[in-house]
Amino acid sequence: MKAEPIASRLYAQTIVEHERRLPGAGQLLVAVGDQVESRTVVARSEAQGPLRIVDVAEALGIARDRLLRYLRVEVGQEVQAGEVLATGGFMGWRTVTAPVAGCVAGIAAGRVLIEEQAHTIELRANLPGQVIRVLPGQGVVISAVASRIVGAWGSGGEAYGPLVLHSQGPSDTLRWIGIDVACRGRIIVGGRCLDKRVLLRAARLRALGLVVGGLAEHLRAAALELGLIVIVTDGIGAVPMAEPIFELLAQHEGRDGLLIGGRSESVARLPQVAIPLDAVRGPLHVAPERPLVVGDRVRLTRAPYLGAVGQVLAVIEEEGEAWARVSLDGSEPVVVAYRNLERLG
Amino acid sequence: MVEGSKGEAYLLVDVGHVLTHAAYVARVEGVARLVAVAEASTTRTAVEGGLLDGVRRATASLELLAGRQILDRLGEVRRPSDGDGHGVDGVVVTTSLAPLLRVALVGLTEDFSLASAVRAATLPCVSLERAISLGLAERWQAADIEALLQRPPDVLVLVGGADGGPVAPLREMGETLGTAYSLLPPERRPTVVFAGNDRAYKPVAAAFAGVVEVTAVANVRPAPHKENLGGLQAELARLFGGRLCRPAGLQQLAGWAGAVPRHDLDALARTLRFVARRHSLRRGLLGVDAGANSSRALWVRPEGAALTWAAPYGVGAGLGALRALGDPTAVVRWMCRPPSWAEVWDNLSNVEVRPGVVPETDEDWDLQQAAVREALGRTWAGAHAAWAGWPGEGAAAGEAEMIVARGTVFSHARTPAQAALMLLDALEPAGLVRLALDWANLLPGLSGLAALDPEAAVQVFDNDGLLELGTLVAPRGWLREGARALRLRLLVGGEERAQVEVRAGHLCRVPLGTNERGRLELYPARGLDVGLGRRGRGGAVEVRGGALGVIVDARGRPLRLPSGDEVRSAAFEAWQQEIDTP
Repeated sequence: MKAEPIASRLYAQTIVEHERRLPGAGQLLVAVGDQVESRTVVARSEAQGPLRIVDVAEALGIARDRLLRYLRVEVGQEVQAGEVLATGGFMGWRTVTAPVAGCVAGIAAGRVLIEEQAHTIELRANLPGQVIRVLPGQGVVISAVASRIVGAWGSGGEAYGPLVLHSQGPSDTLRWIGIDVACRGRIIVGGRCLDKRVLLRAARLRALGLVVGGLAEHLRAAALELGLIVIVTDGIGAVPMAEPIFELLAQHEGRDGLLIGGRSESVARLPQVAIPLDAVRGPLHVAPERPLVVGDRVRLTRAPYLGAVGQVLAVIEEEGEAWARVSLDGSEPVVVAYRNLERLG
Repeated sequence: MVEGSKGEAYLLVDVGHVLTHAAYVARVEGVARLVAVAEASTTRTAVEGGLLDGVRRATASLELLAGRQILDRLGEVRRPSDGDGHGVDGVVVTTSLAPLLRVALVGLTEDFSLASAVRAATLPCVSLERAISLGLAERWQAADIEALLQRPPDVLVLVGGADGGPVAPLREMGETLGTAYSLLPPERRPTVVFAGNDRAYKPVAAAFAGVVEVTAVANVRPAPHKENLGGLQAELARLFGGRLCRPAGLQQLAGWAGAVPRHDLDALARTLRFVARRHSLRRGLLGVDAGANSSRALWVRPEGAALTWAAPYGVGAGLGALRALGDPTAVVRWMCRPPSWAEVWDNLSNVEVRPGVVPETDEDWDLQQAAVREALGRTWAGAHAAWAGWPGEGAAAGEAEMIVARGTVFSHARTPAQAALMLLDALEPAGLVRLALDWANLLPGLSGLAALDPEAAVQVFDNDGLLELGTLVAPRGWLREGARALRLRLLVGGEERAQVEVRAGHLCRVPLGTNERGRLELYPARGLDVGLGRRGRGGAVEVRGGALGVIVDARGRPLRLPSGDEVRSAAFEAWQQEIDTP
């Protein structure tokens, strides 16, 4: 395979386009050109409640076509959980009650369909910026100048809040004892996480999420179970965070960041962290995809160099295959497959 | 270009989850040949430019290799081909990215109509989400109906009853679902297909009136001992075809190619049926595809529908399914020099989250090949168990005359011998079986090419389609290690080429070149069956050669791996060496 163009995984300053989409059709509350704050509600929809089916004829032991005679409710009527839907048997001693509160949505073939209460979904911007596109009836796209770090794995979900650094260096392992109430409502940044107690405490203390360089393999399932947003920037296992990434996050400690966990089924999104910037300082890397060139800072993504960071000394293309000679920080240059490299900056 | 006409050059594109493959086919002195193949990373997100960017990159690489311009300056396909050999006359696109048709089946009896419906829905393009029957209690469970409402399938298939049989249960189900679906917005309502008792169609259609159209097809079980799957299968295939291009990326690709993309497994099944007919493989042909996200198996015979099976085990993102099994030894047991299992799973997890990476060290190659064995072995075990319950053809699924493997792990294996050993370990084929690789990822595309230019498709298949590894001789049964398992004599053109004695627990190769044919005399030990009738029976058979000649696998069937780590590592290394050495 040729030396293909690749996108960078780390931008000190770039333009982030963030799509916010409702799960179903709804109403948009902003227009193109509007400035929004992270907590601005940009769209709203009514989510249909789930349908519950109560087999009344079966419960009363009657023929399905005779149900109407025994019913105590009608289509469109609101019912409470435990309210009688139908009575039957001798002296009406057999009753069927509603298992949930809702509205009787239909009656068919001896069954009563109850639609649970609809609820309102409010979609917040989650990123301060400008609305640059609307997706009619579905959502909006917000644009902002930000620092951006693309991760290797994310546990899903999305959150916006201040970053708090919990490691001295990119190789430090997060300790559960360090996760305290001060983490509530914050995004914890650490070198790596190898202890389940860190995740448990972060979830219990309602931290918004975790950004780590490496995460022990068995903790991925734990993060998903706990519903905690975790972004892994470098790799699975005891992999340290790449130094340029750690430095960038450390620079932004205390600022608000947007955490996107990826894993969304509806939109193909990469796990990432975006930290909106107040003002543009220096060159803005819109960073189109491009092939690696000599001097590029790269991260190696396969054993035995997984997580190592270095600089491209040469790109070699032979017989349709591409390789790169990379000078690793603090050791001898190595030749690695082009596909095992990621651009940092 | 008009289908069936004769063009000069074609572009075949196969878009996978990780890699996009492109092949350039052109007529050379009147004969269609594969000129060049290239690959690029699949680009899926909008930031990466959608699928088309990856396809253009693969095509651009192809242009360099073939020395022909296929794209114009704007990146559009140049067509038709000109006198200088630039441009193409047709483009074929196959992909595994098309979302499968999510189907739910509702039937009366699990053993009759529902079983037939399950068989009909076992299609490459279908993901069977749910099969609901009346069950022992002879009533529909509210939870089953609720499940059909919370996550409505794309297609709801109602079956049940022999023609003229009971109507009430189907009408009752139809009334409940019809009422419930009327509460959903129209775009969430499923398509309803009725393939049951002809008397029940009208009441069922009436139950859904005003909510969704009900399409009637032939009853899948018109009588207790009669099955008719064709109507339902054709309808499901039609519905899948209609939805194939709904994702924006595939729509864009279809516009660029000027042709509707084909589902790769369906296309592969068509090509393999051609292979089965061309080589008169009456017992059938097994196709296996080890992909990044999943592995698939196909059982194809010259006549009849292909049986297909997909499992979530793969060698990229599909490694997650292997991890989810919770068996730490699952992949480790296939490794020559395993580090700790924790290290193995860390490495596999990193491949899972970055499926585009490639192995570089010996340990990494070892790990990748171990993962393939595990993924494919489990897929084949699932397929074999599912197909064994099928009347007729399913029972014979383990008796393939030929195995065709595809996937980057096979086409990029360091040697053909390594690819063969992965197949032997994962599938444990027995008897006399021909082994081949889809080395250029060409087979799905050939079925599309056959629609455009049948002659070109046949010529490319005959000349360049398969890398024949050779004929495998693998006796069933088991002897103690080192005992004499098999003696064989190979005659080529009436002259003796080789005479070999193979010990139990070992592998051996006898040279017989590609396109060479020979007469193989086999004399197995008493306890072993080489597929010539019964245990211990020998005989003479005509065999074809290949890159590896005749491969003898006397390790026994079923394959028993040594239990101790060191002994097992030594055995793996010995087997690798034996199959590497002619």
